[in-house]
Amino acid sequence: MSIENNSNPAIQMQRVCKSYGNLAVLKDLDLKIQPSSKIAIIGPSGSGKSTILRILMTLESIDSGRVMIDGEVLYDFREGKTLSSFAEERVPKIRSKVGMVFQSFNLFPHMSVVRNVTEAPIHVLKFSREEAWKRALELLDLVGLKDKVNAYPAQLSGGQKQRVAIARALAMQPRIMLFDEITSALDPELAAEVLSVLKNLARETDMTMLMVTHQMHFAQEFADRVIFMEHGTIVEEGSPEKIFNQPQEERTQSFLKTVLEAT
Amino acid sequence: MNAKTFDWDFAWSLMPELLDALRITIAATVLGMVLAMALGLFWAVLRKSKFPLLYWLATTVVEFFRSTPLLIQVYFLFYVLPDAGLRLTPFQTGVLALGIHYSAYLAEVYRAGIDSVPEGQWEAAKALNLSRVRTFKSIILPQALPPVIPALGNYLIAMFKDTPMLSAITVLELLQTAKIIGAETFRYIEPLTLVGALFLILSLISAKMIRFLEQRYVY
Repeated sequence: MSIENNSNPAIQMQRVCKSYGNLAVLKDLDLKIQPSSKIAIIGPSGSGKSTILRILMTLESIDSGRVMIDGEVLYDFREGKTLSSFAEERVPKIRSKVGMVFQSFNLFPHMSVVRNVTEAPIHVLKFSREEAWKRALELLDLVGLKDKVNAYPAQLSGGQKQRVAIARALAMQPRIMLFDEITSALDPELAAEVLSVLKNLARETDMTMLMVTHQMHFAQEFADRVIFMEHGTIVEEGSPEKIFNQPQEERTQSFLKTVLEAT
Repeated sequence: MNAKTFDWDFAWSLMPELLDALRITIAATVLGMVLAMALGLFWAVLRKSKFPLLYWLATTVVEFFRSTPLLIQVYFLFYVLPDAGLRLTPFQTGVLALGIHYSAYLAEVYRAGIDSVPEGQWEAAKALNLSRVRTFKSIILPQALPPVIPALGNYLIAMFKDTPMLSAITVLELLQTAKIIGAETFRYIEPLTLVGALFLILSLISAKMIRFLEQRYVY
């Protein structure tokens, strides 16, 4: 982060619009994220938080605007027209820099834990089976699941499933990791074990990490920057101290008031 | 010929000939089913293609074969393929017709299986940058196929019971053999009853086997 001038932002979104039918989810969104930063995106449901992650993972396209990852153009559209700098063939290469963990885990239920983690490294990164296994065991150890290597997803708790999903995403060695409400489907104590894995990860890695969360305490601990979104736009952003202790915008204040009172 | 309505001795004497014909019937069913399963999967996967042309091609083919009678397809292949320069035996033509006709039904079965795989599985595969072919092979089909085993089994039995259609193009399967015996001996009740019984026994055995597979692979 110290050499911001000559390094590309990890993520850059410029005037991005996205709507589903008549519903505008993102309105002229501008976002710039520096490499290695740990970002928490908060805001009410339907504010477009998850859509940002889904666009970066190429699970959704955009209607107009520009999205760049590591200085490479992922999307560049203006009024439905594709601009020349955008080339679809490059998408898989750019996508390989990004990993994602989902709210509903999305583990492959017919594969053992270790196969879930080794499948993509073997077939996409072309690792040898031995190499992929060795790294998978390291990652499963990192998320505290070394004893579940041969278990099937159905035999795991929600918290364990989500930790496998984290290991599976890390196995692809992404530069950017996206976490989409990864604890929303979990009981509080299971969520806590997932969050502690994530906290350690955030401390130890220089990956860029973006998380959409409803857990304000965790956002405060994890992030070096917090973004508050509402109705498809960024209302306010800043350090966790600033957002949680002295929010400037009235909408941020009222959102935090509602959320923190509820817990 | 004596006046008994059902002559057991005569019936038993027909068994060797009918069992020979049964082998043809079973062979046509098994080969037809293998062809239908492979072709059906091909149509189903094409219908999931990103390319509109492939999607429309597969959809048209499936709708065409589902919407025209098997008997007409059998006759059509029998009389038209030789004109097109393709010389097949009646048996080969019959297997081809069964396979193509049933591939259209099986394509729908596979499609139901593929559609039952949650969207999140596709998304997870994409997030891991797996290619589309690899996603189908490793992620989608292993989850889509086990639940459709019972439906595939139903079509196997249906196809088995449709093999008498091949008698129309002189394949010596069960019905054709029974008809020839009847024409030669002027007794139809024994051969036709035996043919019916053989179909019944084999269908029941197949249904049992499918139930076994179902318990083994459906989770």
